[in-house]
Order: sequence, then structure tokens, then C-alpha cells
Amino acid sequence: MTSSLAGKTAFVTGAGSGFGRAISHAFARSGAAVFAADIDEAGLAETQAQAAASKLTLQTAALDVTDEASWDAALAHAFDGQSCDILVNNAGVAVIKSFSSMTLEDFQSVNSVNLIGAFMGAKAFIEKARAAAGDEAARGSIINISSVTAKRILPGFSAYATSKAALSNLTRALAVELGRKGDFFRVNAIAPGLARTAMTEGFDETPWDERDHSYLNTIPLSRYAQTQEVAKAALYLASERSKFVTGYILPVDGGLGDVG
Amino acid sequence: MTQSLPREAPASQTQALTGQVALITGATSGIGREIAYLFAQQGARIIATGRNEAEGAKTCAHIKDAGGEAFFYQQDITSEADWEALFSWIETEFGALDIAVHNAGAFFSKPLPDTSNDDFKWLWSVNVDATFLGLKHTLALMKKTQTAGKVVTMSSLAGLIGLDDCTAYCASKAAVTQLAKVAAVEAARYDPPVRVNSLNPGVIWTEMITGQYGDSPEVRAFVMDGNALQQVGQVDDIAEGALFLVSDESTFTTGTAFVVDGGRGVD
Repeated sequence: MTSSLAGKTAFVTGAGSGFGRAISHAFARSGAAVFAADIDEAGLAETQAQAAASKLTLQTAALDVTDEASWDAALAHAFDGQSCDILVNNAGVAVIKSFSSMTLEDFQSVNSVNLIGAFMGAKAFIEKARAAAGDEAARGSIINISSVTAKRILPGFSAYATSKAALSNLTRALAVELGRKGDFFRVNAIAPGLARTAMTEGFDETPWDERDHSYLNTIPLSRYAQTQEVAKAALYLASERSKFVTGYILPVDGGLGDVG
Repeated sequence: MTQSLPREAPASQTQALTGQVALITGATSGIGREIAYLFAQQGARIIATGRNEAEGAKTCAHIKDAGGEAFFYQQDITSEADWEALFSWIETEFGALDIAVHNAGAFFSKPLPDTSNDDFKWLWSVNVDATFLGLKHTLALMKKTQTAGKVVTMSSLAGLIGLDDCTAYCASKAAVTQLAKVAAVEAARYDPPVRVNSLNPGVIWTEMITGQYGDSPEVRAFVMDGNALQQVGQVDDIAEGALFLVSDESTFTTGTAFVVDGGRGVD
């Protein structure tokens, strides 16, 4: 491990499974005090149990990212007695349907978690970080988990891909605003390729091994992303090693977003 | 120019590049030298190349003083004969190459009407032809020796956006970005795959900048003002980005243009 987060506090959403769980574990392993947040409390308990099995400590927070009051309460824990340095907006949902069967409710539900949830999280985080910093410059690293589908899109992904493209551009917009005016917030995103997680398992009722995986032929490195690979990228972006990186969308996609 | 000394890795920390053979061109100054220092600190065996033997010797001495391993190879990157000789030596001496950072390059700023054909061809030859030759010989060896290699081409933010009075430079760095992208497609099919990415720094405080514009408070203010973080980018920022791209931190990242620019390109 080349990045250290010793002395840092991190808040990770969607930490009850998949990328969020891997990121929470990697951050804790690198010395951060981690607040693992999710609406799925059973998933969170499993994240914590796995951490404990590796002798890592995590704190958990119940969080509905679509609810402003929930953000306020959950982040209050992370800023209680210290400043929180890192926010990972990872919580995400997908509704995979043909456009003709996609309802407005489907579209809005995906955007409310993937985009508006991250918007509210960044807003609450910045407000609390500024308050904690007092007269000092507020500092922090915000990492949004976007997706390769912001660039390369599969049929059925109109809601998901749109929400992730918007999240990537929200990242860039916040980077422009939040580095200035006496603050020092870096804002970046990771754009993972599809991985086998609870979310992608839920795309289809067919068991994973029986699905058509010919999609992999379109990916230069010909495989799915691993949650650990997203966690390593998040660790780099969270650490001081990336102190001059902001507004960047870091692909962890086997090359799919850029080539092919 | 600013340059940090090689940093001692804490004893408890595992080195990221232990025993890996890393070629770094243009390791006689600035970004290339800092990359050599950081990779050596992370346990890599360094092959530093460049035209200036005295400066190359300094890079290697610095690494050896810190307990690392480094070799200097004098090279004209525009000569294919030099590339052939270098790779023949690498194969004989090391057997294989794990990492290559094609960093050597040049810069000048001139309005388009004042840029001569010779100016343009010279920069193209140093930045593009040399990167092509470097990639060609690097990938040939990695493929032949079945090495899961990691390759970085040093491009620039100027390879992604236009900068005033920098026609030749911007065009050449766009080519360097694209060379990495297309090489990544091919190299992903090797067994095992080789990853190729470009690194695209914004304005970084090196002699490439001070040589052209001088070192004054005005120049520093201009450099800082242009990016969202309002900081002067340092060589260690780029070295850390390069380490990310060649280490196990980025095993699923290939074909991308990794921008380390303090947000300069976003606004």
C-alpha cells in the first residue's frame, strides 16, 4: 500500500455492498477512521463484520441519500469531535429497461439516488467542513463513483447512464468552484466498468454464471472490474499523493471508455 | 526549479515496485528525474536515459546514495539505431522490462505564423517520432518476453486543449496522447496484457517552464491563477501519478489520458 490515510476521517455511502464495502475496507486498512453509510442496514452489518474479521474498525451510519435530514444526521457523526476529510459518494441504483418501458418514475428514482444524492452529500459535506475549519481554509477530497456508462452505453441504460454522465459533470463543476475562494476541496470521480456486485447481480433474474457475458468482448482487458480495483483508485484520489488532481474522471474500466 | 529528495519509505510500508525494471527517458531533469527517484524509492531498478551524461550521472548517483539501483544510458531518442541498441542492452542485461515511461520531450512557444517548418518538424521528431519508436521497441520486448508490462507516455494537458502560441507543442502532445490510446488496444491482447496510458500534466514547475518564461512572481501567479486549486504543480505530483499508472493500484486502467493539472483543463 503506497497511500496512507492515517489521521484522516472518511465517509463512504453505499458501503453495505460492492464498491462501497471495498472502499470502506481499503480506507480503514490505510489508517482512516471510516464511517460506512448505507440505507441497507443488513449490508452494513456485513461490511462491519468483514472488517472486524480482518481486525479493522469501522463505524456505521444509517443513511438515505435522497433525504436531506438523513444526510445532516449521518454526517453530524462524522464531524463530531473531528473534521471529516473525505467523502465518497458511491451509493447508486440501476433500473435497466428498454426506453419504451422506462417510466418517468424509474428515471427519477435512479437520478434521485445517483445524482441528487451525491449533490446533497457534497453540499452537506462542504457546509460541515467549512464550519469545522472555522477561519482556516476548509480542505477535503470528494470522490464520486460514476461509471463507464457515462461514455459507453448499453441498451437499457438510459436512466443509469444519464445519471452517471451528469454525476461526472457535477464532479467537474464542483472542482472548478470548490478549489477557489479560500477552500481547498478536490473533487474527482471514478468511472468503473461493470463489476459483479449486488447491483449488477440484480440486473437480471438469470444466475450470473448462466448469463450472456459476450459484453466482455468489447472491453480491451476482456473482464469485469473488481471492487478492489475501484477501492485502490479511491485510495489514491483520497490521499495527498493526488494533491494536484481535481476535476478528473478516473477510468477503472479495462480501457472500454477510451478505446475499442 | 523545485525538486524533492528521494524519500525514505517507512520500514513498515511495502514497496510498490520491488525488483521491477523501469525505463525512464529524459530522466536527466525535471519530471523524468523525479519519476526515477520515486520509482527507485518504491524498489524499482532504474534505467535512466537522456542526452546529457553529466545530469544522468547525477540522477543515478542520487538513487544509489539512497540505496537504490540505477543505470544511465545515453540516448538520442530520435535515432532508431539508439533505441535498438538500448533494447538489445536491456534484454541482455535484465532479460525483460516491466515498466517504461516515455517522458523525454521538448517545448517551445511561438505564434503560428512565426513557426517554421523546421521548428514544427523538430518538435514533432522529439515528441512524437521518439514516442512512437519508444513504444514500438518497448511493446515488442514486453510481448516477446511475456511481461505484464506497464507503459506511460508523457503527454500534456496541451494534448487535450489548445494553448495560446503553442501550435506545434499542442499538436505533438495530442499525438502522444493518441499513441498511448491506440497502443493500449493492441497491447491489451498480449498474453499477458500490457497496459498503456498517457499522463497529461498541466503546468508543472520545471525548467521547461522557467527556461521559456523565466522564474518571477508574475510567472508563478499566472501559473497558479490558471487552475482551480490555485497551486503551482510540482514534479512530485506527476511522479505520484506515474506511480499510480505503473503500480498495482491501476490494474484495470488502460488507454486513458490521466490528467494531473489542478483542474486547469476543466474551466
